[in-house]
Amino acid sequence: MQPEEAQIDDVALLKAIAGKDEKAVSQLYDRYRVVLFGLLVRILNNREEAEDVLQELFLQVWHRAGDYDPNRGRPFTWLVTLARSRAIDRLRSVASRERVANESAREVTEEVSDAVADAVRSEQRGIVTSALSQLPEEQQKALVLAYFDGLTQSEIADRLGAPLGTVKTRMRAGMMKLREVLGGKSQSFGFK
Amino acid sequence: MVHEEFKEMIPTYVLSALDGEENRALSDHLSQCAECQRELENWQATAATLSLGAQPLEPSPAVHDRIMKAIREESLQNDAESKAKANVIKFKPANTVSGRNYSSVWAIAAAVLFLITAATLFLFWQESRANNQIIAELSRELQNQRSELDRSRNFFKVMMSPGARMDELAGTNQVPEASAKLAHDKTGHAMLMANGLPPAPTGKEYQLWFIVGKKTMPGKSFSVDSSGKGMLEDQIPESARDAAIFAITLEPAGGVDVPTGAIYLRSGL
Repeated sequence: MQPEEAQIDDVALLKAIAGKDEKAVSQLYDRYRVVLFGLLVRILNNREEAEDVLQELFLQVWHRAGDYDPNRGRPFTWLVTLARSRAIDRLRSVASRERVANESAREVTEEVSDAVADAVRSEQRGIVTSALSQLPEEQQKALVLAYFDGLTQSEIADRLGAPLGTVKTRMRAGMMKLREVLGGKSQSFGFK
Repeated sequence: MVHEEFKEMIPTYVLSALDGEENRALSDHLSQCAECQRELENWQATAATLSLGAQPLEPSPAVHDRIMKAIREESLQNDAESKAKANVIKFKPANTVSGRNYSSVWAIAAAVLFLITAATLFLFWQESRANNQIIAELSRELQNQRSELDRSRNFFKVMMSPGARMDELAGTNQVPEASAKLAHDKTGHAMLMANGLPPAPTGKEYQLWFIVGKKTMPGKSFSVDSSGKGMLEDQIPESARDAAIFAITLEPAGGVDVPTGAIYLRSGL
C-alpha cells in the first residue's frame, strides 16, 4: 500500500517539519489532505469550516511536529487524532452544533469532488467499510454517532432511545469487534 | 474506580464519547498509568481507521496556499527576530570575548575601581577633616564656655564674698553702648565683666587701669570675643582698693605700664 511518490516515510517527513522544512509540510499535506478533509467535512458537515480546520491542523503540525513520538503510534494515527479532536471541539460549540443541525448532509455529499482516484486510499476505505459492515447494526450506529457526529454515550443513548448501559456495552463491543476484524491492518494504514 | 474499569473505558475514550466526569477521571488515570497509556495508543490506531470510512474529499487549492503563506510569514518573522538577536549578541561581546581585549577590559575595570576607591577615600578624608574642624571648633567653644563659666563663677564668688564691692564702668564717647562691672573683695581680688566692646585690632588688647588721684596703675590686659564680651581676673593694688577709678583702654597686646590709647570704659562717670 505505497503511494506513487512516497519515497520519504511519514516519520521522516515529520522530523523534517520539526526542523522547519517548509517543503516537508507541503508533501505531508499532499499525502493526507483528501483523507483528512473528507473526515473533517463528514464531522463538521460544512466545507468552509472543514477547510479552516484543515488549515489550523497543518499549522499545528508545523508548530508541534517535534512532539510526535514514533514509539507511541504512526503519523497517520497522530494526524487523524489531531484533526478529529479539533473538529469535535468545534462541533461541540453551541453555534456550530446549531448550524450543523440546519444543514443537509446530502448537500455536502453532492459537493464532494471525485478525488477518490487514489487506488491506495480506495483500498483502505474498502477495508474499513467492510470491517464496519461486519458489526451488528446497533454497534455500527453507536460508533458512527460517536466518531463522526461527536456524540457522547449519554447523547447516543438519547438519540437511539436505548439505556446508557446498553450503549456503553455496544460501543465497547463494537470497537473490540472492529479491532478484531481489522486485525493488524490498522497498523498499516496511512502511507508508511 | 479501579484500574480494570479505567482500562475498559479506553475504547470509548478514543471516540471522545465518555461523558464529563468519566472523561476527566480517565484522563487523570492515563497520566499516571503506563499500561493504560499503551492501551490508549493501540485503541487510537483502531479509531483512526474509522476516518477512512468517510468519503475522501479534495479541499480547495486555496487551503494549501494559505497554509504555506502562513508558514512562510512566520518563518520570515522568526528569521528577522533571529537576526535582530544575533546583531545584539555581536554588538555586545565584540569588546569582551576576544582574548586580546581582556587585558584592556581588566585595565579599565581596575582604573575605574581605583578611581572609585580614591574618590571614596578623598570624600572620607574631607568629611573626616571637616568633622575634625567642627570638633576642634566645638572644643574651643566648649573651652571658652568653661572659661567664661569659671570667670562668671569667680565673679559671683567675689561679689558674694564679705565686704565685696562692685563698680560699674560706662562706655566713653568711643563706645557709648559698652559697659562693664568690676567685682572685688577686700583682698583686692577682682573680676571684670565687659560687654559691648568692639573686637580689638590685631596686636591690640584692652587693658585695665587703676587710677588713684593722679596716679595710674596698670592692670592686666584682655581680649573680647566676637560678641564684644570680655572677662578678666586681676588683683587690685592695695593702694587702690578703697578709692580707685577703674578705666579700660586699648593698648598693645600684652599690656603696657603707662596708658597710651583712648579710654573706652571708666567708672565714676
